[in-house]
Amino acid sequence: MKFLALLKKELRECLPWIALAAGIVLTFGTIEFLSKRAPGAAYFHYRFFNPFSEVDRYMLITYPTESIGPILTLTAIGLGITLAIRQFWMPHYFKEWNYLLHRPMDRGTVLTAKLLTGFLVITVPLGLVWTYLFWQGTRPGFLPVPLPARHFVEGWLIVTQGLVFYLGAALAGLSRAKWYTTKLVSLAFALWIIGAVAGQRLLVWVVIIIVTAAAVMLYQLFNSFLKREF
Amino acid sequence: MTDTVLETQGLTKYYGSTLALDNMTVKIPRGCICGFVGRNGSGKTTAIKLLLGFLNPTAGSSMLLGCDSQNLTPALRQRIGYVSEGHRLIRWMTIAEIAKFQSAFFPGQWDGKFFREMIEYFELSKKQKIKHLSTGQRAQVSLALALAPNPELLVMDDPTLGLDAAIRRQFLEGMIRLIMQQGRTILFSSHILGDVERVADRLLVIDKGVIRADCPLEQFRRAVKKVKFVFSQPPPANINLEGLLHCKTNEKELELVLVGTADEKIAEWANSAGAKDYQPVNMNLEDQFIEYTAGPGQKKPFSWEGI
Repeated sequence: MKFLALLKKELRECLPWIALAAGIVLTFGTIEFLSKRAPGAAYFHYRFFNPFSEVDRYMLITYPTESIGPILTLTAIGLGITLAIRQFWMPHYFKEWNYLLHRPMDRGTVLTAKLLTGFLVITVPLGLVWTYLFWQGTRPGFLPVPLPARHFVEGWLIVTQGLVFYLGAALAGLSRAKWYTTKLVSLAFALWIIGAVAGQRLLVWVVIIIVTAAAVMLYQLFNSFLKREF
Repeated sequence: MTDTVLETQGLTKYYGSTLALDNMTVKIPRGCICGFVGRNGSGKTTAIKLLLGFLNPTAGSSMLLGCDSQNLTPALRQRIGYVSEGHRLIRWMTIAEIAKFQSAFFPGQWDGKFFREMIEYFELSKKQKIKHLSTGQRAQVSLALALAPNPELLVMDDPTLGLDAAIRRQFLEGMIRLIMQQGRTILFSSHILGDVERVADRLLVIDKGVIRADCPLEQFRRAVKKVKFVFSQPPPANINLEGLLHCKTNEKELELVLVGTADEKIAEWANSAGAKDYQPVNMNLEDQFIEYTAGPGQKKPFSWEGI
């Protein structure tokens, strides 16, 4: 009951950002899928700017999932950072921590409610939108070239990169250091993790890197939150 | 049940190299309304945050309802109401939503009828959003939220800060009297001495992080005196009078601020110093507080026992 009340409060606070992020991916994703549905359009576009170049129209066919990737990455990272700001920076700015923490509940449970909300809000809406787009793309006859299953897993892994940034920004929000000293180190770490992930060809390594990074930051987050002065 | 609701022992807090609270040792008995007074930046909020376990002490310890402040269990927090400084609540919620949110944490303890009555008493609408309320209205909602679970101990950090005189009076007289009737222990900090005088029965005076007085209000009112002496010649330079805090000389007049000095001792000194006349100066609590905390070298703790 108590945990549920906290969870509902957190979800309500994150709701506008879920809608925005899901809307961005859904809109751009739908446009991209629809444009890739007709390779003739891409060919026309190419010929318009390269009138003297000869190219087979089928060479211009690309997977829509490839061009959605950057949008999904940026949205997941943006959502992660935004949620961390909403959950960990704003209560500090508006001095709401004392009201939130003085209740019949230990600090760990308050943090768990926040993190669980963050995880759900990042993975579920973006993941569902991604799954929906992929499902659309796999319908027979929808795209000229069928989508490989690997792209589906890659999309979900991109979404989890938002979690890494979420944890990094949350840690930065709890840090009492100045911004020009160590406050943003956790965000730099998250950025480094994204770089490390980008260089991997095997998806299993991507999973290992993301899970390890998240575990390290979660541990640090609990430590910081339980010991922090508010 | 212990008779001491709140107890600190050598509680000290440094922020970096800045001393915010210095060796605070106090005991607050059950059932009293304790005004915690001090100027802005004197350490009131730091002390309250230490008591509630939001800050870690540099040294010393504090106990609330018999439990160490650093390890307040959820069951114990359930018995402590808290009104934070500035009445920071969840801004996007309406009054009805925040009441529902708060009540979820106090199953079987939340008095919804009492909350509704208080909101009606303050002439607020339950549909109003917290972010659209004035500071005074937020204070009223804060108080209603803190009182509705019927806490044993209520800690309020400057609850009347930023309220206009009328709302302050309404806030204090209406609600604190209600609290008094129900026999709760209240600790409330303030720098508005009039508020404290109106409702408190015990006084904690803090100045520059040091607790300067911890006694019943009436005792403080009796003990801190200002006496004006008139001399036919310039007054003596050396004043050897027990309880002297500070003095002010003006040609042939001398004003002494004393604490705990018996009237007989004052009369004796006036005779021995050759004063032509002397009379006590009337002071309200604010004057007494200012005189008591003014002047150099006033860091020495004064023993309030036996005054």
